[in-house]
Amino acid sequence: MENQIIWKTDLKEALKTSRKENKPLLIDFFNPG
Amino acid sequence: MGAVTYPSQDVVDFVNANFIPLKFDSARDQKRFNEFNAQWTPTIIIYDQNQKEHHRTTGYLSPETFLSEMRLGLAKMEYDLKRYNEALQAYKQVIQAYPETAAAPEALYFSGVCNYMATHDPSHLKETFTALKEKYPRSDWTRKAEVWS
Repeated sequence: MENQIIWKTDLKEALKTSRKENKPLLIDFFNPG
Repeated sequence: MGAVTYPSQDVVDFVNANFIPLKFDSARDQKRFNEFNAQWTPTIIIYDQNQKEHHRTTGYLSPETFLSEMRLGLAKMEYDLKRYNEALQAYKQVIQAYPETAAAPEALYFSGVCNYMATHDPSHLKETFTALKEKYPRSDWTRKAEVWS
């Protein structure tokens, strides 16, 4: 069990993984400030 | 979200099990921010492998509200993909697990629609309006369903 969310930061890589694992993306636009 | 919602173990488990999580810094990734027509932060989008958007929220979500909205979003994805039985099960999970959230009346509304789409029996719509009126009498979804009465 992971104790944190494993975030990707590259859309193309995320879409590749999405197709491989058959899971949708959860995209979060955040403000670091 | 980073301080309260994302550290929640329930949220961690749910996100890692059901999604490929992707985050963009709105200041550094202006191109993506604009490409996805985000207007404020946080904006959270459920986006499938064929690059179709199915659900979007804007603003802070507590852990419980986040889970209810993401479950609703997954149900909406199934519905959009015309997988009505899967959508119905997903909507029912929202209603059962998060009955006091804003997601619940929408889930109840669309559970009726899923039943109708699967059977073409309009009695499902009338039953759904009755349930909405009983459980969520002031919800906009109940008003939308009044035509089914």
